[in-house]
Amino acid sequence: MTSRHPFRSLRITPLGAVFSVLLVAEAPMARGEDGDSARVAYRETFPAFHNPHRFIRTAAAADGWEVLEEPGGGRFLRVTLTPQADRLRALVIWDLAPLQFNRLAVRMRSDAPIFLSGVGNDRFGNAYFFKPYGEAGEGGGKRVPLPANGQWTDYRIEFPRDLVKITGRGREVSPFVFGSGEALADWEGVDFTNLGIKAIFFHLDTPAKSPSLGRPMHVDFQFLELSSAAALASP
Amino acid sequence: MNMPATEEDFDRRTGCVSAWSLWGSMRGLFALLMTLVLIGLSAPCLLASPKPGMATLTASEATRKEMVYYVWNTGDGRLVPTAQGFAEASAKIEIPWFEKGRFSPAWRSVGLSGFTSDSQPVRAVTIAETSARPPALPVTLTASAGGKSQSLSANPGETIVWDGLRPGGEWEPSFLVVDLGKPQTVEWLVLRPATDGLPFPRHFLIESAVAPTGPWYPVVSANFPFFPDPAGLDVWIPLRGLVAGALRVVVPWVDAPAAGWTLAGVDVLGSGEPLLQPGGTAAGDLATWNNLWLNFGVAANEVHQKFDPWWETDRPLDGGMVCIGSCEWFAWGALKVSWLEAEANPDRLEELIARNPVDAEGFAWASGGSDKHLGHSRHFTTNALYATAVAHHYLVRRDRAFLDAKDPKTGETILSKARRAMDYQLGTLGGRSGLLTLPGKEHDGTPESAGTNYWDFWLFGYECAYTNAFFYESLRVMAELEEALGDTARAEELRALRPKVRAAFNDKFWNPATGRYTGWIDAAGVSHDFGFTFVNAMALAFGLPDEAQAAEVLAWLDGTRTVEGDDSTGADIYAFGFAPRANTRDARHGTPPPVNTWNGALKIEPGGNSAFGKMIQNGGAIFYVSYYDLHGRRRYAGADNAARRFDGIQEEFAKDQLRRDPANANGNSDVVGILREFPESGLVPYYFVDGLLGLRPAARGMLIAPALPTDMPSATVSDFYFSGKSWEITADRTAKQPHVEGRDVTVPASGTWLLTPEGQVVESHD
Repeated sequence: MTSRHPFRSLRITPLGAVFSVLLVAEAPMARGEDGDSARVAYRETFPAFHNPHRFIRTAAAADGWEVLEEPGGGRFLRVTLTPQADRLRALVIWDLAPLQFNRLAVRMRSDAPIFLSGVGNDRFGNAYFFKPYGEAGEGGGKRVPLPANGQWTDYRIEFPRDLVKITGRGREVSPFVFGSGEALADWEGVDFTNLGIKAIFFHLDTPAKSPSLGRPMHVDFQFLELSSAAALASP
Repeated sequence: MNMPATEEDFDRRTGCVSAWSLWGSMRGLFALLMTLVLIGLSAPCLLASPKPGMATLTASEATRKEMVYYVWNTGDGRLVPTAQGFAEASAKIEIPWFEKGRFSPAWRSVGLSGFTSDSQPVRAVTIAETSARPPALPVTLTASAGGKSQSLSANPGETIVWDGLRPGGEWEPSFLVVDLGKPQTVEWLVLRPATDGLPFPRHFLIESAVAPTGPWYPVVSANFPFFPDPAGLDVWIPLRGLVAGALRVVVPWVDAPAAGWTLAGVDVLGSGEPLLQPGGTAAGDLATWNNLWLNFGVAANEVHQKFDPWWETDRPLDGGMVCIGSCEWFAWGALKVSWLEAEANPDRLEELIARNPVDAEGFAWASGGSDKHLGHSRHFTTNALYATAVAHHYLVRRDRAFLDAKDPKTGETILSKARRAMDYQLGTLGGRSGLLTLPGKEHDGTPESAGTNYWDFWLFGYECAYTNAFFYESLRVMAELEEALGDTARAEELRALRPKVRAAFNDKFWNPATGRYTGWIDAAGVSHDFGFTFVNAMALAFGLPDEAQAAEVLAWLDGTRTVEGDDSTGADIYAFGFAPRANTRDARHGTPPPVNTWNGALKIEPGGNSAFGKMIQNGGAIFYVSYYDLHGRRRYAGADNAARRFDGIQEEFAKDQLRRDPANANGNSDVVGILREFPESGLVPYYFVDGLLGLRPAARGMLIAPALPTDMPSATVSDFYFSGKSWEITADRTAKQPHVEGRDVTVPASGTWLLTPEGQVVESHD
């Protein structure tokens, strides 16, 4: 039903390259940790004209979610979760139209300590596992819980620097079988300038001995921003 | 497929793995189904040639893995963007030309991350005949950003005098509202770039509304991040018959904090007659009927990730689709597309029907590649649905070549296969006795069986009300076909069987204890009555109950009668608004529950991913059931009763155009069935055609038996293709006699009329 046009598959012309560079120069810029610029492709701030039910889901220890207004203006996503000793993880799933990005930034706050990590799924069955919060740079390289101080905190991931594992590459994952394959030690074949990420799973893990167990708690998301580092933005 | 990451992704303590197994399984099964369909399609689809003045252009950006859209430079001063889709798919778009000549189109692809290709020329297009350019509609414009708004003067074709918009912040949305004054049919929104001042919007999307006060709905095919500089060319955004009272250009963000955007002009082209015209009703009704059809009938302004409306699209862009190429959908597909003049969708259906096997025993396979649905179990509805689809399609289009078309593998004609499909019901399944009985242990309806129809969570089987209801309907439609072909003896045989089937249906499936039909009776004699609204709605729509039985069913559905033991009663039965819950009694009440849990992936206990009310087949709802619900009400409780039910649907449509697939607490977005692999959602607006107007094909022609609600003085369908010609058909309370003039047919709003293939209208006593 779909046809390919192989004669176009290697089409990178000088004009196209020039145009791509111009695009990068024009595009809105996000700042990476090292201060270089990136082209923002997606930034969700929960404006009134978006229906978040189309792209937000929660599962496991999460009870549900809603979009709320800040007293001083602005909107945010509030996830309510009730972790239990046998159910420590809550999932927040962000569905995307398949998108290329290699930088992720999310601004969050929690009213109880919680570990944060995540996975990006592409539309070919590959999973890209993110370093947990802390290990990705914020906590001096150690996994630490998101501070429960009522302040917004950023979690930033850059591919491939902040990935811990990629699984499933090159294989169609059977819906009946989990564990699509061993982690791929060789990432050299992965083209981080040309991904099609279709969902991001945020893992919210309550510490096993947390006093929050059995109590409803909130984790808020102010925005999610997905961008491509300028150097990787376009072929 | 929307896949879980891997098992490492889940802490075993979450208990969430099986939930995601279900999610992946269901999506995976759908992909499998489509694969099986494809196995039967060994040749490319034979799509119809475009109309004169139109050209089909094809683009494919095979290198990108993200979604892309294409911007066509048509070579005549226009840029025409497409919807988004997978880069490797072949993106076709039909574009009209308004002047003769030879043009050199070229496309650029734009990835959602901002990747933009260079221009790719394609073969030149020669336009010998032109399309009629739709006229520009008068509009008023209002620009707004940061809470401030500005009215703009904008006669069609004139340049707007303004300085453009500078939002207060980089991520502050800004808007240009285009007020059309009243709901009108819109074909194109043309944005003209300015030659100086601020640039053309870099990122924008289009929304529509009944009125400029909103609520606003996204036109999902018109979402253009990183739109390339149009370089002075007008940007023509196709809206394909959208009925709107207002449009809105939304610029969700700009490139820099001080950046802005402007347009030199905005033209809205359209004003043609809406396809569906409910007379005397509120403006919103006109928009609801037409946009329900646009979104879920022909799925014209949807995102199709394979650039093909016969394939599904994943969250978050899932929407309407035309049909699924499996036999399970053929009869519904025929209802949806047989009456369409544009040939692409009818041709596609015909090809699938031709290729779908009816095996040596006479069983109609689920798809070209398998006798079993999803390779899992036989669905014994396929014979009725195959025969019904063939008969309906022929009786509408009257193209004998369709019946004579041959299965490319066996050489057997479609007509022969349809007749054998009927024979299988009559013989192998025992239909001549008045009751189909499904054979084999796998289909015996017991807890060990595998399910036998669309509702495959439930273990329908053996003596199955759902299958027998479709059998009853197939007898009616096939009798009409046989009579139309001159085989009156066969027609009479089939018609004579219907009272027997109806009696057997009521004798076997009516449950006097609950005042409704049970779902099935298994081989051990156990009746499974879980308050299946879809079974009962179908039974009423097909005319199976008597008046008293129908009244009992409707009293139960409307909540004025409570059935003891039900979990959903009263107003809760229609809690979803757009359709009744699939069942009113939780599957857990079965001992054991008569359901297929897919090896435990489905958990029906409270808190489980398929708990009552949290899954489409167990207390959730599927939109298409409303089509049968409306027909049942029309038949037994009258047009006004059906209209009140439609009001409930309209109320939900007004919220979000039913673009919803909410997830349950387990993250499964299978609570309701409206979008994605539910093209049968388009049956609901088809009720305008075969319910309000009462258009139903019969042997001697097209029956017109209007059933207008009291507050609707007339109803018109402006393009109904019947017997080789497109008709405009109106039922009018003021008309005393039927009237035909050219392609326009008007009949009184009461009585039953027959439009013959020769174009005459006579009173019918059918």
